[in-house]
Amino acid sequence: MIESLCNWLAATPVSLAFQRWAWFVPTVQVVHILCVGVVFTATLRVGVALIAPRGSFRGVTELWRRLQPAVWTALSVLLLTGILLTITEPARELLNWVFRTKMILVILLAGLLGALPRLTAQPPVARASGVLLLTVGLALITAGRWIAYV
Amino acid sequence: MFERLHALCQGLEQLPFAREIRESDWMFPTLETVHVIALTIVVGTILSVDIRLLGRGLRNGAFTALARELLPWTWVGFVIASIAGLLMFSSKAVTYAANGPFQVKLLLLLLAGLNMVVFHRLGMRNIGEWDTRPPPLSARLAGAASILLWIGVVAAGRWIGFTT
Repeated sequence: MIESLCNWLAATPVSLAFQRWAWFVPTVQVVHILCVGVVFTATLRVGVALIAPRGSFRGVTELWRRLQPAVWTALSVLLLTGILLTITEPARELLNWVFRTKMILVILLAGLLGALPRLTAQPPVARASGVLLLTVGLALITAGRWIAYV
Repeated sequence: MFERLHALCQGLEQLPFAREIRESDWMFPTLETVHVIALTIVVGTILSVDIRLLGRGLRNGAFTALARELLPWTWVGFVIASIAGLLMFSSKAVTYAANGPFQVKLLLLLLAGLNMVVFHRLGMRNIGEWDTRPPPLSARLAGAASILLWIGVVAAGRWIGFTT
């Protein structure tokens, strides 16, 4: 079923146009990577602050409050560029188990970031969340790069 | 000079570790993953500082505090990205050295470094006057140049993969 969806998507006029433009995929990937930079840097700052807070965990909440507009904007652009890349090469993404793993990790990261203000209430939970946040962030980029090789 | 560079690249390709990277199924993608993780840290931290240089996010505190927090991450990321990049380069040194986007990437990295040196020498002189206030035009220009140069570095880097 997914295979026929991929075949249909790859034959649509929009996908065919994207496939024809040699510059399209690398350009969209550049925007995607820049947004990954914004999200991962914020994840790193918040994750490290959760594991080894300077002062109280209130500082982490304050840091996250400042970072979140940029993070949610970057995540929205990542979703859009991800959809464009999937429309261009549906089989490369949708039939790939690494891509599916990446999507699960994206949901996990977004969920963790969304729940952040509540996770800072208790120090052990906050520290565990920091470790999980960094692990998920690293796994996400790793999965993203390995889609091309699996 | 080009002949010597070509011979140097040929020699590099023949080193045991370069051959191993070339012939292995997992080493190159692993190095690439490390390179991308490190690069996202470099670009993410630099863009955060540059956006502050453009005068955005002033209520988030002093410029020096932000730079002090983020720039160590930038350097760690840069060193890791450079080592992984050099190892990837060694696997097909002759091909990469002759690749246009690779040459552009090195040039842009050099210009980004020069921009940083000039900003630190000149732009940071009167930091006390604008640390918590809107930066002067020279600092804004340095920030804008840095943003454009680093976007260029990422773009050139991505194009290497499509042209080799």
